[in-house]
Amino acid sequence: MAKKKIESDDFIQPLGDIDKIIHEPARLMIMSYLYVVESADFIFLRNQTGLTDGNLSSHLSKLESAGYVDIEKRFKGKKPQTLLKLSREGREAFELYRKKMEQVLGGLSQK
Amino acid sequence: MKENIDLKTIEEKILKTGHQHGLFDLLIGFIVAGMAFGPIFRESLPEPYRYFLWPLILVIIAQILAFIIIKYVIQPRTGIVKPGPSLKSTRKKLLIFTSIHFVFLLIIFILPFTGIASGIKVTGIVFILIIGLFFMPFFITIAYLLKYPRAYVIGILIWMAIIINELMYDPIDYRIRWLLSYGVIGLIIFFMGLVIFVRFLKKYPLPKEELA
Repeated sequence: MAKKKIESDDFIQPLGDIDKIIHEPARLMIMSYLYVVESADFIFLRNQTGLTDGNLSSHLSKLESAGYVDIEKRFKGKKPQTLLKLSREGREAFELYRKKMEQVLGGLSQK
Repeated sequence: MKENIDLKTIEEKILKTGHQHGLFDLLIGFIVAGMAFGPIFRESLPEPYRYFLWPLILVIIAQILAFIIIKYVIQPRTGIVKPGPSLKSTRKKLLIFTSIHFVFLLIIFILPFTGIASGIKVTGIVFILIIGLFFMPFFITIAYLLKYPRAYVIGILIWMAIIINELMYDPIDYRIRWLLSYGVIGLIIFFMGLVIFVRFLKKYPLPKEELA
């Protein structure tokens, strides 16, 4: 019984230190999109994720504060353009998050 | 917002953004329909370039139109994305295949002029099948690699244009024959693209201003 408890803790344990910034569904979506591309602009990400301007903007600010996303603001002609890309830390954090989630979900048996 | 997050699905979705607007269908339709007017202009073109020049003019016009429409109509609506390593490798595969295919087609095209294949005469249904085999791999590869199923339909439609043209070889004057085969099929592809393009414009209106 005690052994079973320890085994259960082994795979549940990583949930405790899962990255809460990435774990939020909207931010996970943003991170996933930015992970597969080199960079994207605000409009592209908004169209793909289906988030509203305000929502996307606020999640991006959180990801930028965490150092996961680099935001570059520039002008294309007279129009503002916001370019987004995952930072090296962001890429590493996302890969770690994936590994941990696979570990946890892989440990859950189907009954 | 969708609940399931799968990186492969996201990559496919990003690939599809490259042709979801229907512009390429529209421009392929334009080129095919434009080919129908080839025989009319052919006579006024200089001799050695008679057969190449008209398709070349159409392709150049289509390229210019694609550049302008993508830059001023599509990109402001869809935004800009630079592909990651996996998407870049898909594009590289496509480029390699289309280059090999182009060289193959060029050799086939040049062979009759060199006299090497002068003994080989292919006519009728065999000709139709061989012509299809020459360019169908191109559309099949595009459809498969870029997740662009309409490319299968476009390929088959162009093949049909060649078949119709071949079937009407004797009874009808060649100018009308080209209009009935390439003209009609080209217009079908063009309108297919136009419907998708109009839907795209409605779905993605011009954004007012960025917030971020």
